[in-house]
Amino acid sequence: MADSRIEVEFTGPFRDICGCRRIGLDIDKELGLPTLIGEIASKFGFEFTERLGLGEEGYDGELATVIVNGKVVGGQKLREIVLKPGDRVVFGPSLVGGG
Amino acid sequence: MPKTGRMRRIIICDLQKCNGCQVCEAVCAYAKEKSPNLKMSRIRVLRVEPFLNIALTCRKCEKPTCVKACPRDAVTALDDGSISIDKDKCNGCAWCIESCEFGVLRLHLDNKVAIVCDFCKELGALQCVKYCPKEAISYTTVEQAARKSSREVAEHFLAEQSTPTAQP
Amino acid sequence: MVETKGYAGKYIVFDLGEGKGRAEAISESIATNLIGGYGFGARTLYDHVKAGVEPYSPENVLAWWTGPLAGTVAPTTSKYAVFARSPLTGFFGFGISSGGFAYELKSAGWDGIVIFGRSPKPVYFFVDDDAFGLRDASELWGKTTWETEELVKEELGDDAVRVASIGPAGEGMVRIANITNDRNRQVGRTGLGSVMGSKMLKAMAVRGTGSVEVADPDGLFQFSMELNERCKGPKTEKYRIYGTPANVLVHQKLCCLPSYNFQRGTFEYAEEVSGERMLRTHVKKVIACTNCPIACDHVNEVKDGPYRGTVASMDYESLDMLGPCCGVRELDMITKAVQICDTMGVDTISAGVTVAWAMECFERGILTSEDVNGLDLRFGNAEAMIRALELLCRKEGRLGRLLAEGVKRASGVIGKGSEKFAVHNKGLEWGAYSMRSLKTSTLGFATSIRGACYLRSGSYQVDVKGTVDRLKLDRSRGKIVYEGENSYAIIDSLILCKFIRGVLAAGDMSKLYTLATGFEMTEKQLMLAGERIHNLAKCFNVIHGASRKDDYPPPRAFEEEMTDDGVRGVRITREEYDEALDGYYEVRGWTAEGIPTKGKLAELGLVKEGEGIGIG
Repeated sequence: MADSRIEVEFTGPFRDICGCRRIGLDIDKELGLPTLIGEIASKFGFEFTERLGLGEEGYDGELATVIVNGKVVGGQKLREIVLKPGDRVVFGPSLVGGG
Repeated sequence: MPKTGRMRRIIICDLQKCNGCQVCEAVCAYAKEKSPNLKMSRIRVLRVEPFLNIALTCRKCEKPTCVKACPRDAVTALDDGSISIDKDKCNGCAWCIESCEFGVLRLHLDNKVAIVCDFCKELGALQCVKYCPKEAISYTTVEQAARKSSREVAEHFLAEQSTPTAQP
Repeated sequence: MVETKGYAGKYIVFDLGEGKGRAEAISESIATNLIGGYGFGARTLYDHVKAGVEPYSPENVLAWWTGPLAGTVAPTTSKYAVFARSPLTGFFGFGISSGGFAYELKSAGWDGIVIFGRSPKPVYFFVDDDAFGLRDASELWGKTTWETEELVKEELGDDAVRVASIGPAGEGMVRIANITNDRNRQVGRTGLGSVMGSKMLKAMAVRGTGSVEVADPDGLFQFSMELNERCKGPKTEKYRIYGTPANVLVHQKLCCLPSYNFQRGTFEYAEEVSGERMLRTHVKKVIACTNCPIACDHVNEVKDGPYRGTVASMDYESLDMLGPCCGVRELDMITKAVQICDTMGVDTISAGVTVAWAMECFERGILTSEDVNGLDLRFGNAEAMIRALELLCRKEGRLGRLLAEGVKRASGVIGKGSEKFAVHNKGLEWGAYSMRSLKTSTLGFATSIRGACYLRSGSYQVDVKGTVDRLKLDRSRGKIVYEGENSYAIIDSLILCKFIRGVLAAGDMSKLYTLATGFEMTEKQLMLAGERIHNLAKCFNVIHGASRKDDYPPPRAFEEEMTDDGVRGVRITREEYDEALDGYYEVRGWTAEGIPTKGKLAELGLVKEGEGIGIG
């Protein structure tokens, strides 16, 4: 069933680290966002969490942007996010002005 | 034993990595003159539009033209091949500067004598190598520089061909 | 002359009509109160460009200012700023550029150059250490910026000279014309290239063989090397590897990538114009400005096709405005478009938005085929976009003459409701940040001193970091814009590159200032100076008629709902915007009309300016 998956997309350096643009994860119940990150790291290497600037408090918004279902997850709020089947997550670099 | 020939150590700037930032010029000018004046640097950065950037300095030539050129014997080559310029003998005629095919000598802006890279002898550590933000500059022997190029070519182009294909 | 460290302590004042100038001193009081760069420019404009001075008249000033750090070993400080009353907005015209020009000017022994008047014939200004004067530019007139740089170097017999010039667009007074230096760097916004053109000033060339003296050379060197080291870390990685084009896909995922003239926040071909794609297929080299350890300038080369060999420096703004904003999906074409703008001397952001507006007009039937020189000027038609740009740059044909005026005037001329989708604030075209799905960003854009731009506040950051709800404004956002503006005013006065801000800790900016100048300066004093500078610039705008009415985003932000999945129905309501704007004015200490009060200005040491404005 389509809705038993979480769609995860990577842009920028996360594409390089994971070697792909997207993965799908089958889940049968809820999954905490930190746990998803841990699973991605164990699959693709801990450079992933390093590049996120993942620490005690959450991830570093200066380094990365984490988006769940079109909403930016503030770095500190990372631990509060619980993913359900059908959710879409994006890991990308932080936005950098433009010039 | 003098380190000349294949074991001559010179400053090499990697063309692929150099982006023309001139930080090497800034740190050299500071080290030698305590000044941020880039025109006092002993290493020279060239940008040839649109894509070529390189930093150049003394090559420690085996037969240095600058030494030969000086009419006053102000320019001498030391044992390691680097160049020494006697400030008192030099009258700033700039013949040595003109003779250098790499253009790496200059005239000091204040005292008007010829200056050239002395490989940071007094400091004991090459500043441009230490502070290049992209690690484009290295202090290495000409032999090592050549081997590095050969190795890169070998790894890039020949790695696949070097292993025999499986026999049926 | 005053003996100063960091600062050269003097600047040139020059009258183009008389062909003569003199040196003026910088006082310690001006230095510590207004810092340099933006602060000095605000002082110059306020003092010398009174109400009623037409931007293209000889009475408009053209001021070039560096900061106290330029020409020192401090990283990313080879920056200069140019000021004039903007012909595009009528308000504070201002832009900053980098490369090697500022380092050279400071090494020549000058903090700045303030130019008045108009030359009777084409000239360029040459600063040769302490000598300065005009040289004939009749052979240069008509040349592109890149050609001009080469020719000036050849004429002066010195390829180490630094050159800032206008292209044919500036000469022709295309209202969105810019200034280019060191080939790839621009003072892009507010039409300052056309002010130069109006003065018959083709270029500024400078040779500086002197040494900038600083108060603590060893201390500054050590700290600078420490900063360089920090710049190797993760906080600058985004600039170094993908560069700002990495924004494309992040914006896309957030539905805030301006596409089709800001009608949409997503572009169906985003992957094709992404930074990720560009790095693989188009980036030939990443180069640096003088004395910068980061190196962010991604230079593209087109590998095949009709524009094979085209080279252009590509950043996110240019990429979006000449790409998705015009519906264009081919990186080859976008690269060509940028090269045209850079060589002819036109701001890529203003040009892209103006052409996009024309495309929307054409698709709606507001502009006919005859109006657009027979071009099939629909979104996505890259060849038509390129042709339109060429016409714009030369003011050629009906279309060229229309577009050369920028989107505000063009839509004023055409009317028929096209003003509703002319995307600008104060006449300055909007940049590559969605108006409706990044609301704190929009507050910062619309209240900006020079018009639609985030460079004065960086307020988009809280939206994209999820610190606030980007889809809903409230009264508290004003404080975010206020703090951003004060801090950025200092960055723009010292002048540092904004790309180094991620590695600066609290206290680092005042530390740099003191190491260079020897003047005591706490971080608190520095932030106060930032507030002062911002208010001084604001006073200039008020004198020239600015008030609350000028601090709003354009109609599209309020009247149209977004249709992209994820932000369906999103628009800005007038209520929420007014609430946020009230909050901003309150924090600023200004009236509800957005005018600084006498009391507030007096607090900042701007008593005379307070009298000048005369409010409360």
